[in-house]
Amino acid sequence: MKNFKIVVTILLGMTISAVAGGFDLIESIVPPGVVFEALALNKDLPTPAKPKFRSPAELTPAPDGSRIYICEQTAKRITIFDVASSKMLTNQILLPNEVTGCAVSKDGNTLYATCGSESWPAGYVCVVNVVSGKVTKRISVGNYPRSPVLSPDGTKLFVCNQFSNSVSVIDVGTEQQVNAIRVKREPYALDITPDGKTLVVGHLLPDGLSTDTVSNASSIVFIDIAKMAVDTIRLQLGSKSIFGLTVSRDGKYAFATHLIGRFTLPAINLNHGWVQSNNLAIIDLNSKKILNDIELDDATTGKANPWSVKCSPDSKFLVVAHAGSNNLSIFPYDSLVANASRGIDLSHDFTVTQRLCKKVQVTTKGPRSLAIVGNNVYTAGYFDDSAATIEEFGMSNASKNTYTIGEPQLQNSERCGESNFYDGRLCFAYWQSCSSCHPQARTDGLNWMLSSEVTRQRNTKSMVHSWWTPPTGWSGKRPHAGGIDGSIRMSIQNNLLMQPTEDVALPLDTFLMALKPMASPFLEKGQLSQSAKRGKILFNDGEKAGCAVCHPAPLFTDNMSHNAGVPDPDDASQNFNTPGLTECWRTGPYGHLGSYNTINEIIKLRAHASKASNLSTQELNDLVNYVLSL
Amino acid sequence: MQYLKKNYRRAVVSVLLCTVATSAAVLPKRLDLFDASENKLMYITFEYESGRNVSRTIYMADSTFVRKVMITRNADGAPAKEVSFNFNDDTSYVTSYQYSGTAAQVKITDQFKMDQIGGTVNYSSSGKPDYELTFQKTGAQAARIKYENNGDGNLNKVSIFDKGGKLQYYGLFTNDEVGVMQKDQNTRQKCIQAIVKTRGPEQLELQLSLEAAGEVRCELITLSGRSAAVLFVARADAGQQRLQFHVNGNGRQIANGVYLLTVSIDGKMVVRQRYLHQNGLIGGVK
Repeated sequence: MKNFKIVVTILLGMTISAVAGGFDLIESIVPPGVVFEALALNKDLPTPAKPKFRSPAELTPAPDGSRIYICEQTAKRITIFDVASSKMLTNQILLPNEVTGCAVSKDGNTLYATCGSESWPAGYVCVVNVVSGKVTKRISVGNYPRSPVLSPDGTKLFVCNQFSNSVSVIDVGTEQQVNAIRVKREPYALDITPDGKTLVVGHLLPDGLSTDTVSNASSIVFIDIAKMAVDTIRLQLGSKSIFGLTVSRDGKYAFATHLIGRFTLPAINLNHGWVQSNNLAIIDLNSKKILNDIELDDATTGKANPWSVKCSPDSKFLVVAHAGSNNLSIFPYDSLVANASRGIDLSHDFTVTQRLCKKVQVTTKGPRSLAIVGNNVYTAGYFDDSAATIEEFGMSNASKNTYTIGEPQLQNSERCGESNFYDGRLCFAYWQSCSSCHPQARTDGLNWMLSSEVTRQRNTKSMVHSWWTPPTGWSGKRPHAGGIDGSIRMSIQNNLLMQPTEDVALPLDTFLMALKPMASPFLEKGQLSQSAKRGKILFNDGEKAGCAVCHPAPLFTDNMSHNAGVPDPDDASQNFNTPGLTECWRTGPYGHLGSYNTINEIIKLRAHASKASNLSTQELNDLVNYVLSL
Repeated sequence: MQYLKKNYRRAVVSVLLCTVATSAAVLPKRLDLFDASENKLMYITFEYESGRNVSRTIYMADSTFVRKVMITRNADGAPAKEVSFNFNDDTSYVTSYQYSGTAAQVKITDQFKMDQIGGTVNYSSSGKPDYELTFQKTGAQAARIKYENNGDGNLNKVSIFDKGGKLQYYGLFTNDEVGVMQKDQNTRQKCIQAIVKTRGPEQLELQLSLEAAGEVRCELITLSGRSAAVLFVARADAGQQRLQFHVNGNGRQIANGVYLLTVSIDGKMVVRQRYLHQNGLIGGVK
C-alpha cells in the first residue's frame, strides 16, 4: 500500500510535469499562432484579408465525357462535375499548390495536374489516382507550369513552363521528365496534332525589342516531337496574350486567341479596335503559316480578352470564351475556315464575326475556361462573386443552365480589384481591360503613345510595387497610383474612356497595394546563388557598381528621375523615373523605350552606371545574376 | 494528509525529478505540414541558441526557402514580435503577439504594414491542448488547433480542423532535421551514390553521383542530437564529383569525440554514419 501510494505520487508528478512542461513548450516555441501564420500566409487557411477563392481556371472533360474536372486554381483543388446527373461530386482532389490545368489519361483513371503559384513557382505535375483522389507522385518540371497535354497514344505528357520558357516532355510510364525544349517568351497554351507528331505552342509575350515596329509579336512554335526540332512563326505585329490554343480534330489547323495591340498608333480612339483588337489566329499546320487572323469584336462593341478556344468533338463548331466581356463566340467551323481561306486579311474586319458568329452572354464573371461535351459547352467564371457556375449551352438551341460549384464567397476589396483589373466591361464598349496592356498585372512588352503623351512612346510598366514607388510612369507625371489624379483613375478616364467611380477605383487601389512579386527563376531553391551573392556585394558597393545609390533595397528605386543615358530622339530632357528592379527577370525589354533586351546592355551604358564598365566579365555576370534574382 | 507529511520529501523529489526529466525533453527541430490528403505542403525548422528558440525558417515541401523569422520574446519567454526576412534579407512580414491573461492576439502585416489576416486572431490557452482561434473583429473561427505529445512531453503532432471538426491540415514534429518524408513523394533530385572517405588529418572527401544539381550539406551531429557543426554547404552539379573539405575549416575547432556525420542533398539525408574526430590525428568515418 505504501509503495502503491508512492507510485501514485510519482505518476501524479509526471502528469503535472508533462502538462506543465509539454504545453509550456508549445506556447514558447510553437504557439498556435505559428501554425496559423504558416498556413495563412501560404493561402491555405482563409482569412478575411485573404479569403480562399475558387478561381476555376480550367475545365477538363474526361475522355468518355462522363465528367468534367474543374481546376479551382487558388483553392488548390479539383472538383468533379458529373455530366449525367449535372451535379458536383462530393469528393474533391486536394493538391499541394495552385492547380493551373489538368490532363486525363485515356482510361480516365489518372489525372496529370500542373501545379505552381506566384508564391511557390517551382513547378510540378501531380499524378493523381482518380479513384483514391490522392496524389501518387510529383514530377518536377519548370517554373510555373500549365497547359498539360497528353499525346494521343498516352505515352507522353507535355507541359508549358511559363517562366522557364520551355516545354517539358514527361514519360508517362516512368513518370519522369525526359526533356525540356527551349521555346519563346512565356509559353502559355499548348496542343498536339491528332497524329501525335507536332506540338503547337502559343506564347504570352512578344520577345523582340519594343522599338521594333515591323515584326515584334508573340510567337507560335511548332515542335516536331520525334526530332525535338523547333520551328517558329510570329503572329501579326503587336500580337500578344495567346491565352488559348487548340488544334482542329483533323489536324489541319491551329486556332490561337490573342490580342493585337496597335501600338504604332496613338492610343486615343478605342472604336473599331484601333487600340487593341481581340483576335483569333488560324494557322495552317501543313505549311506552318498563318492562314488568317480573324477579329472577334463586333464593329461597335469589343469582346475583351479572348481566352480559351475549343473545337466541338464533331468539328461543327468552334467556341471562344471572352474573359473580359463575359461572353462566348460560337462559330460554324467550316464556314469560319472557308472565310479565312479566301485570301482577304480579316484581322481588322468585322464582317466574318457579323455574319457567322453567335454571341452568347454568360452570367459567370470572367469565363476563362471551356469544355465541350457532346453538344454542350461548359464554362466557369474565374471571378464569380456569388456562386461559381458552369453554364451549359446547347449549340443549336442556346439553352442555359447554371450549376453552383460550392458555397457562395463574399469578395473582399482586393478580389474586387483583381476582378475589375480583368473586366473589359469597365471600358468603353468593352474593347479592353487593364490586363490587355498589363497581362497578369505586368507588362505586354510593347511601347505605347498614351493619350497624355501623344507623341512620346513609353514602354508598358509592370504594376508590381507601383503603389509603393510614387510617382508613377516613366516621366513621373502622376504623383501616385491612387488618389483623384493618380494613375489608376486617370487610366480609367484616359485609356478605358470611362468616368472613374470609386466603387471601381478603390478596389483597384487595394489590388495594386496587395500585389506581391513572384520568386525569380534565377533563385536556387528560393535563395541567391553563389554568383548572385557576389553580385549583391557589387550592387551595394559604391566603389564597384554602386547600383544601390539609385536602386536601394527593398524596392530598388529611389523614386527620383535621372538621365540613364538611354537615347530618345523624342524626349530632350532624357530624365526618367528610376524603375524598380523587382521582377525585372520578367519585365524586359528594358529602358523607357524597351530598347534593351538584356540587363547587361543597360548596365553598361556609361551614363547609367559608369563604374560598371570597370567590372570584369565575371563581376558583371555576378551583378546581372543578382539583379535578375530580385 | 498523514501520508503526504510522512512522505513529503519523497513526493517532492519525485515531482522535481519528473519535471527535470520533462524539461529535458528534446526541443522540436522541425514541423512538417500536410493537407488532409497527406500532400506535404511545407516545413518549418526551429533554430536554437543556448536552448532558446531564436528563429524559425519556412521552406516549401521541396526545400525552396520562403522566409526566415527572427523572434523577440517578452520577459515571460513568450514570442512578442517576429520579423520575417526574404532571400535578400529584406523584411517581408511582421507578426506581433499580445497577451492578456491566458489569451493571446496575433497580428500579421507585410513590409508595407498591410494587414495580412484582416485584423487579429485570438487564441486562449485555457483549452489546452486544443486551441480555438477566432478572428477578433467577427468572432468567426479562424482555426481549431490540437496538439498531441508522445507521452513524454515531446510535441508529436498538431492537427487543424474546420468548424465542422473535419481535419484540414496536420503537422508532424520531429527532432531530426530530415523530418518526415512521405514514401510516395518524389523530388527531382536522385542521389545515386554518396560516400564519405577520410583523406588525411581532419580531411574528408565526399564522393557524389547526382542525377540533378542540388544543394549538398554535410553536418556533424552530436550523439544527443544537436548540431555540432555544418562542415560544408554548397551547390553541386549533376554527375559525378568529389568534394573535399577540412573538418576544422573556417576557424572551427571541433571537440574530439564521436559524432554522427550526415550528408543531405536538397534536404534529403543520404549519408548518416559515425565519425570519430581527434584533432590533429587521422580520425575518420566508421
